Amino acid sequence: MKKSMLFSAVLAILVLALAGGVFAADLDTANPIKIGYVGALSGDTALWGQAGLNGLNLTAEMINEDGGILGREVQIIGLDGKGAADDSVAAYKRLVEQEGVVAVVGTNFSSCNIPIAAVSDELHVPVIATAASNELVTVDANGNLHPYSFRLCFIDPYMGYLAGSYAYNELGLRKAAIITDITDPYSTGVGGYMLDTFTSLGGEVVAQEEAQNGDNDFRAQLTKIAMAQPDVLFVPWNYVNVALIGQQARELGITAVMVGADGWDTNELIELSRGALEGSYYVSRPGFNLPEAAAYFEIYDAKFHSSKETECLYGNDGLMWIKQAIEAAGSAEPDAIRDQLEATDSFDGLLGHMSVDPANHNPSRDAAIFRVDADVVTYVGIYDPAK
Amino acid sequence: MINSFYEGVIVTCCVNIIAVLGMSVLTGFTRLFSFGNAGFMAIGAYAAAICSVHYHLPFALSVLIGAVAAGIVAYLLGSLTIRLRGDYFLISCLGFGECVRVLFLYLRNITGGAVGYTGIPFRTTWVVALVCAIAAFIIAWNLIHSRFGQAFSAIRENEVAAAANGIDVVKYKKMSFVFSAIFAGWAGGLYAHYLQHITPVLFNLPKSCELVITTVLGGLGSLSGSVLGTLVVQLLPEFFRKFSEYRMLAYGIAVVLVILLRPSGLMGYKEFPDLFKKSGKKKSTGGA
Amino acid sequence: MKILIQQMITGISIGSVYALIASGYALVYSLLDFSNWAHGEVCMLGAYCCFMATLVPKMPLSVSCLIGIGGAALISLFNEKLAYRRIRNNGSPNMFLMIAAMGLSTTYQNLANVIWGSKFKQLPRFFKTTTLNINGIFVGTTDLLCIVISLIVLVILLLIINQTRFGLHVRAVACAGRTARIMGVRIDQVIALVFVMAGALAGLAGITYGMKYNVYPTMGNVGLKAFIASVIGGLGSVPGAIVGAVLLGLIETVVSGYISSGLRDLISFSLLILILLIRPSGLFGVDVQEKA
Repeated sequence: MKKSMLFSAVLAILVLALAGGVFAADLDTANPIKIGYVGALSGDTALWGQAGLNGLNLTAEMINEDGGILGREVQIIGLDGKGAADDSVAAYKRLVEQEGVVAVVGTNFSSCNIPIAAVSDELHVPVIATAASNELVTVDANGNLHPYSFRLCFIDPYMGYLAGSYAYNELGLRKAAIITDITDPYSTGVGGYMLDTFTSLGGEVVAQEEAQNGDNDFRAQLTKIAMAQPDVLFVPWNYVNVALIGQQARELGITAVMVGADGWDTNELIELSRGALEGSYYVSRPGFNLPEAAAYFEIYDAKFHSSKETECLYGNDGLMWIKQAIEAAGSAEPDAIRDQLEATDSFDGLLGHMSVDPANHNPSRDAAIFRVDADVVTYVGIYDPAK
Repeated sequence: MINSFYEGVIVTCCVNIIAVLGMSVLTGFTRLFSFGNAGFMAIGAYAAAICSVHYHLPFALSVLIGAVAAGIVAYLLGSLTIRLRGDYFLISCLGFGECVRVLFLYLRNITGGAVGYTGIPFRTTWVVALVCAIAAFIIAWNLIHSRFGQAFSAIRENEVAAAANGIDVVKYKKMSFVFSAIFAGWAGGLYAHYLQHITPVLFNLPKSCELVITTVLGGLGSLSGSVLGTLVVQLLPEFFRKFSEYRMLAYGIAVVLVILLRPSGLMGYKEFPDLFKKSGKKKSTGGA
Repeated sequence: MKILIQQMITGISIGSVYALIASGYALVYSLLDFSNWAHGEVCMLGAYCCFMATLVPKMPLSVSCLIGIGGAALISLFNEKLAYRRIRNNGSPNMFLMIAAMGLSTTYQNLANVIWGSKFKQLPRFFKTTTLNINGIFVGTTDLLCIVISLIVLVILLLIINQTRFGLHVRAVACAGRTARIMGVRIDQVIALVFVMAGALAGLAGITYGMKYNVYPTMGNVGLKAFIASVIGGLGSVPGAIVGAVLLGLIETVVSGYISSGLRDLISFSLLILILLIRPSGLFGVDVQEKA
């Protein structure tokens, strides 16, 4: 109760400040620092792209209230990449060449960030991928680092490793089934590593099925899975499909524990799945569970009336990370930002604490386990199989 | 000096011009609808990319192989389906395009699956793209103004009459289909060497639809209309990129408006030179 | 055996939604000889209308559904009055209708995105229990309801077309538009009514789809499957569209259940092409030379 009052107060101040522009007096607005955002703002994945841009805009507003970065105003330029590789590359190029941004946040798709990474080698403006988790986003197929490409999320192998070992070691499950989305590299990537880990620990894979995003009906595949009687079903999908798969699996009498990854992160999981996911687990960042994130979402909700997506937090963290780099460098030059991003040994965002490995630009951060109960998602705790 | 953004815009326009010119010969001149040309683009793109990355063939040869591969597949498909009428032919092409996409998603070892095929060298500079687009225009122009082109138009105007006049309808239809596929494959090969990374999603059904819409908007039976149509369809959304979902909304409305207000498209049955001739010779006005 | 029955049930439940949309395609095609590609979006808008109605306090679900169906019917009629009729009167070739429909489809998809956002919504369901367990075979209650309603509605549709005076007019216009006009059939009225009927069917399909899955701006893509179903059945034939739809639903489930789920679309599309090669005008289609 106290907390929410505090937040309303923060909100009120924010609104006042916006209305009066009182704090903006000493802000250098003539010479703004421009930060770009590329995401799917239209098309069937627009939900996440728009959430990311909203997050970025909200955070930029807050930063400007606080006097900007190095006293300069932050300006966000969001361009539509439609979730397609060619459009995203065009958007990145336009941000750099036409809009003169010093850094770019986005996208949330590996298939878009892999080509952007190659372009960033030429254009020398750092790009921070949000949820693009394929290894090739920061390191090319020959093992060479893309010096200007960074990311905020876990990489697929780590996510799969965590989920696989949690299912085997902590939940004591032995017979696995999996359903993956062949149109989504995240799903096939994470799914593959889940099974690799699970089998290398001694588990058995009894059913392996594929489907496509947009299918909506997965019962043909799930009927086959039900036949194989697994005790764990890996579902490395985004939450919309997770909710459908969960409901249809229960409808077909599958009682296996469902285990997923960070695609499950949303506060709508219970409602969308109509409670079917009870007893499932997933691996993700502490993210939603941190009080700072909850506070942020309260302001976000009041402003946008939109669902609370991890993508908003990614947007915030991307911008805050760039801010930290600019302040550390004392300069807003793309190359200086890049150097500081690479040298980051501690960054605290809404998604938790992270550091960067300079060799491959992958962040190392804590992972947490969540359990889905009848009407609430419970934070189980930080999980590190090595310990 | 052209920066990489303008280069990207020019390359994208030129690549699409090539694909649309192929479509124009098929749809505008022979009146066959194909919603599978993105599939041929995909074949051209992947074949060219694999030649260049895996077999280290020179760029021009890789693109050529891509175009020929698309042509061969079109020949085989056309041999089966070209006799189907109207929407039945259309849907068989649509089905084919989706098959190609699903196949490329599925063959992960060869194509990289959904992650995409990566590491393609950058070869399609704006000069290369522009030269190719001009060459494509000249080739298409010559084809249309040859005996073949007249056969195509005859089929468009009245298939039965064309057949009665000794035109081998099936042969010419198939030829026009293969021609459009070769152009699509050519475009795909060039695009792969510009993007450096291709995924099956780039060549999905909406892409095929975009090619058809562009052809119709530009004006059926007009090659210069196809070029103009491509410029409009590619440049306007690029220009309005900041407006995210509103720009696609505007695009949809624009398509409907053009069809309502200018039923023959921007340049229906006219070429650029015709615009300057007040009493030039009358072109075919097309049929219902 | 149990598995096969289970898969068949899934196939029929998928096919029944396809059938509602496909019969709308077939109705419009039979009169106007064009594929109304905006039909899937009519479905989507119907589902959204129903969703908006459920937000009104104390609104019974059945009334919300009727509002959704009515909304879809109105939008379908709007398409006809605003766009298709004008294009027909322009004397433009038929394919322009198809392109206009594609433009409308893009427009509606993005309009929904602008109005409601891209968030996934859900429609409430009629029953609390989700499944019936009949000897180890699971049947979803919502599925059962949808299948029954689809069946009733489609039977009524066939009766209207084959038994009523209005149906006679529809068939007359489909068969020979000009002659029908001379004989005193008010063509534009018949066409408008057919669009209303097709829209209502699409609205019903959209609502069932929204109850079983989600409501979102690109859900109209299911229209593509229905279009394919109506082609398999033979364009312009309503019974054909229904058979084609159920067949497609069954093919999809059986292929994913017994052959390969990854290659499902590849195999179903290849089968489609194969069917067309054997029967070039679909299962129930009449082989007519296209009107020049």
